[in-house]
Amino acid sequence: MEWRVIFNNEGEVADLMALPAAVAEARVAGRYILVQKPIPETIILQKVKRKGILVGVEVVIDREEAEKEGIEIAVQPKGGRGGMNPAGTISFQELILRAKDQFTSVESSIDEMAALIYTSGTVGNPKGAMLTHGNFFAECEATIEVIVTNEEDRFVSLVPFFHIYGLAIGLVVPLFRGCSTLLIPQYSPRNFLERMDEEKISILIAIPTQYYHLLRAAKRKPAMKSALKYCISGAAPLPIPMIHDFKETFGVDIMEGYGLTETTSAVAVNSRHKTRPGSVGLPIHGVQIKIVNEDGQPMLPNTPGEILVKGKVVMAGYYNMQEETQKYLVEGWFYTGDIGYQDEEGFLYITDRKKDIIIKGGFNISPAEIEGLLIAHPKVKEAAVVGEKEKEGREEAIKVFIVPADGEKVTSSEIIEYCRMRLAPYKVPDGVEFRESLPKSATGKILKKELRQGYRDGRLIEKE
Amino acid sequence: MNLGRLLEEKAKKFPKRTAVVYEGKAINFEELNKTVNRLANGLKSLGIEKGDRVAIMLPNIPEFVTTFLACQKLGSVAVPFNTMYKGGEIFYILKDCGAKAIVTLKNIVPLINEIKPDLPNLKYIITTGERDLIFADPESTLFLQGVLSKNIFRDLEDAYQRVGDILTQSFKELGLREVWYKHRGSLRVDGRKLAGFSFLEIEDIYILQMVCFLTPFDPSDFFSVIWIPPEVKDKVLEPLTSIQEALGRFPNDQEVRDALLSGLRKGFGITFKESGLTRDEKLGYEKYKAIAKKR
Repeated sequence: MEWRVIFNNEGEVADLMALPAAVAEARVAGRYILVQKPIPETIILQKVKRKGILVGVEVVIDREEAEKEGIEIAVQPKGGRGGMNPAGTISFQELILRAKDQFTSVESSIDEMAALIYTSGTVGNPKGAMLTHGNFFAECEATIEVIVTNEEDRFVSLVPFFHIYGLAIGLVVPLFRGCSTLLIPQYSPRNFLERMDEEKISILIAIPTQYYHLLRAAKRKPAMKSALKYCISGAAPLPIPMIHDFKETFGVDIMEGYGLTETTSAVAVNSRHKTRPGSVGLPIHGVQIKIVNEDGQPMLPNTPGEILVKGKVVMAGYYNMQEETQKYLVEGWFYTGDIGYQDEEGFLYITDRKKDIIIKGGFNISPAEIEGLLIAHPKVKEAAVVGEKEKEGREEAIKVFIVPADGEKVTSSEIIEYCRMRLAPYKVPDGVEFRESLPKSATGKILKKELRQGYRDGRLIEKE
Repeated sequence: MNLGRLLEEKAKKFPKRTAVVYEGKAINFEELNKTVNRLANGLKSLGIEKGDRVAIMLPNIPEFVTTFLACQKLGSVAVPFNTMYKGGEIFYILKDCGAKAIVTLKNIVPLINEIKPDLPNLKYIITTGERDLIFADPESTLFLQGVLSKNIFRDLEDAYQRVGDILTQSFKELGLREVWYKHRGSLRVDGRKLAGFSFLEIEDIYILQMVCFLTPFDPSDFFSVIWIPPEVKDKVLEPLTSIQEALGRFPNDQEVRDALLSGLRKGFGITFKESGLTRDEKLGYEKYKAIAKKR
């Protein structure tokens, strides 16, 4: 049999779509109109002359920038009904088109599982936190006093809904309150500021890095007239100067909170009337927080220990992990693995992650303390500190990863000397490594796991 | 009370109040409830029942909201996870939760396809969204496409297997001894992707789309055009490799093209004739080009 081959060695990016689509269309149509001889099986080999991107219609593209960079943009026609679809899949649109719009809900009790959300720990495989209908309702009720809304309020979550913070606070809370929520699947800070105005957004849910990008974009724009009432931040520590800076630019406070996947997101939030920058606020309605030492004894105010959480927001357990569940969930108290303290009034401060604590020479060393110091160095943009096992022994060495500030050069002896001047000798780093960037999660947390020795990239697919 | 009921209650209490705004379009609680009902019926017709896990790998689009709430009405369990996860990360979650269905973006399908054979519980891939993103670079990317009758193959599995085997042979012929192909769509060297392909379908035709990387692919220019938070840039693409890296020398375009065609010739027992588009095809081509360039 003879097949046809078409070469397009110096094509445009649009050809990547237009050539096969034209051939397919002519073949499909050819059968109906019964003219000419049938079109043969066809192979097309293509390369492009210039850089280009072929995008679906829903991808947001900066056309100006594309022109400046000399990148060709081509848009794919809409697929869907009658169009091309990935083979072997079901189209969402077709599935709902055929179906009735009446449905009798299957009975589920408040204690049944509504969502299973995987959380990747510092070590080991991700664990699936089983969250019940009751957990989500408890979270909605717990936040009533800190996120005060009326029916006019409009939410937007820049945090993805696959993250518990986005899902609980950005999706379920507005539904519970009967408020509307604006969906932004992909944003650029500049475009988002305009949308925020147009849509009269009053409640913004985001993470520190997003606030940082928004601030930078806002400074390049004339004064804003925003309808913002509340901004909520979570998932990673919010630098205090940013709170002030944001207030000056947008006229509203960012209220920082603290929560975990296992607690259906927030357990403590700074409320508008009771804010303490640097703290993650007071425990919210219905949530109990306890700080304990390694023997489970409660700590005095201002003394750090492990943070324990109890209340209806606490998950039912880890999916298919009986042992882990029993380890972290004891008599209703969830052991967060986070280290922190409460002040006399109960404001919670997060200092460390328990598993990140480095033990060296019998001392417990806080990576956060060293990181805080390093970030204060003018030539350092980002820093992460991890413990590394020394050969054979259990003794850990302190390893620091540094991203130099833009355009700055810094040496490891400079860093070590700087630490030596300011830290107890046992806290001085043993090794320094420079990186262009640090691995981060979708919510901007530094993924220390990926910086540790022997890390294997989970994205790779192995043959066996 | 449960989350499914919550939506019903809101739809009854204030049907016309806006629930969701997306791309300038407002969806009220009544409309949202109806769409959720439709999807719940649709999922039910596929056999999704109470307690079944339904994975959701979507950004914040209306389909996320609909799927999450339809799961609640069915009494099934929503398993949302990061849209930037790749290979092993996705596999672990789908395997662990035993999801029966996944709702995801069309452009993520190749990632799921590749691991699906090892996920016996995963029966349905439900797709939405027009978020394809194909980078073309004059140095690095070579595209091979095919418009082929479905009846060349036994079924889709056979199509993936034969084309995968043929491409593997072609790359081996080029001297890439380490290349391997296991499941739907990815040719790899050392766990990294060297080439990827997938099939689209329209009526009785498969459209094969393959891209392979001749030289190391650098996406940095492209990222100035699509806003991606700097801290996740390295997570957007799968770990890649290229013919140059695997071969240890700069590949010549012609030899790569020849190897690919020779593999196809042997694999399908056919001959090739080089020619251009027919008159009808040319008209279609002009039309599609106009669509592609329209703003």
